Amino acid sequence: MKKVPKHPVDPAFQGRLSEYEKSPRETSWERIQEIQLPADNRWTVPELNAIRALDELQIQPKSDSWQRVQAALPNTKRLVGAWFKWSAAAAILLIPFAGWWVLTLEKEAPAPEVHTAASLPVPETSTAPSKSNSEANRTSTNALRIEPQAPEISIATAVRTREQKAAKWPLEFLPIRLERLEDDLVFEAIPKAFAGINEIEPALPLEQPRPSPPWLQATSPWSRSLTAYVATQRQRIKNGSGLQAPWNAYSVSMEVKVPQALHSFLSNTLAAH
Amino acid sequence: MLACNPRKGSGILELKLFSLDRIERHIPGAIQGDAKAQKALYDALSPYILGLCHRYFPQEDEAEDHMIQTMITFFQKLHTYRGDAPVKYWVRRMAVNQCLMTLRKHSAIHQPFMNEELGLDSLNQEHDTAHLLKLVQSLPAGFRTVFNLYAIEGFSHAEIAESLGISEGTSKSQLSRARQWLQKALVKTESDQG
Repeated sequence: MKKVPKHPVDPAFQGRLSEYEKSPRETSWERIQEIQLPADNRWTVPELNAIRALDELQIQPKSDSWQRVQAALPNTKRLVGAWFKWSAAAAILLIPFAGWWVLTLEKEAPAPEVHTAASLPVPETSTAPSKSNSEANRTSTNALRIEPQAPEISIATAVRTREQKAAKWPLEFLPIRLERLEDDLVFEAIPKAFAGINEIEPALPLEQPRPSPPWLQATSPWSRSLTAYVATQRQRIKNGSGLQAPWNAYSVSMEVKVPQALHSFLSNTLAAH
Repeated sequence: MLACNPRKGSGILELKLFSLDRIERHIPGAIQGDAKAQKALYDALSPYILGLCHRYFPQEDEAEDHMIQTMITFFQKLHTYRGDAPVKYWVRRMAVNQCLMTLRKHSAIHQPFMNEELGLDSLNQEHDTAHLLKLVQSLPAGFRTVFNLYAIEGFSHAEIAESLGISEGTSKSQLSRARQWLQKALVKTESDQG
């Protein structure tokens, strides 16, 4: 429906311009068509065949192309292999040198002195020719300096042999052992080995009870305490009351100078009781 | 799978059969730097990549350079290959990106393609893969690139526009022109053979 103008128009002018036509350029339609056509419109069969063939196309490269690719690649395996080769070569060279070096050191170094208990200087007893205790101690100390290992003395082997006593270790060793709590209880304190003691007692096994030595009297506080404890427990057993617990109701304190390793062992052992 | 060797004495491309199957088994060795595994992958993939590069670069040396650079990039990034897609398509995308990097720098790809002349007379009349390759290679750079990306690589016009720095309309226009030209060339070839 043609729009009727509200204002008057020039009929001649309107007729000329409204009917005016001009043909577009030929390329205009092509350009419109190219844009408007769906780009993914169906391919023709020859096109599809061509696309498939081009998609599968393979061309053999030149023979030197692989060398060019390989030259640009860091060959990790080759580097690792080279590292192992050089390491093996270095080891082959170093092992004989290390062997020669060790042999040279062994030749230069003096032979280590082996000190055993039997080889330690045994001071003479009272029947031996005169040799002062200080000299004996010095000898023993020198032996310890050469062989710094402390003698392994435990509570169970606290009864020392004749040779051990004769060695006169400069230790104040005072172990305490409670054998049994029976009627015939024999409280035994293993005699300490004082440096300079010349008397030699025969070694007795721990199982064999023996009387308390004369020096263990009920004069010292700890001795009285133990004696009182034993007496109390003996009385309780006789009365049928049973043993009094805990044991640590009675404490014994003493000062013992022992090597560090033995000190730890004694501390643990005494603490366990 | 078809393969052609353009370096035979007669100039006729030789078709061979290649298989890209089972090349994935060489990947672990190639990642560790095993030269044999790398060579096996190269032998299997390089013809395929070179064929792709030849579609973008008619010049033999130029295509070879792009193939070599693609293979170097492939081996350098092989440890990132996750196996989501066949390695063939993974390296193919690398090759396309490699070609596009160069094509973006070419001024020819940004020239108005509408006025370029297409010469059909120089085409070989053999209707085989080599002939098709020559058909595509005879296209102007812009036509050839858009046609390769759209028809063979499966890019959308938006992706082509983004990759080449052109508008989508230009991409559509160039594809249409390339198709028209190729259709004419194919019809002409068929008529000549018939």
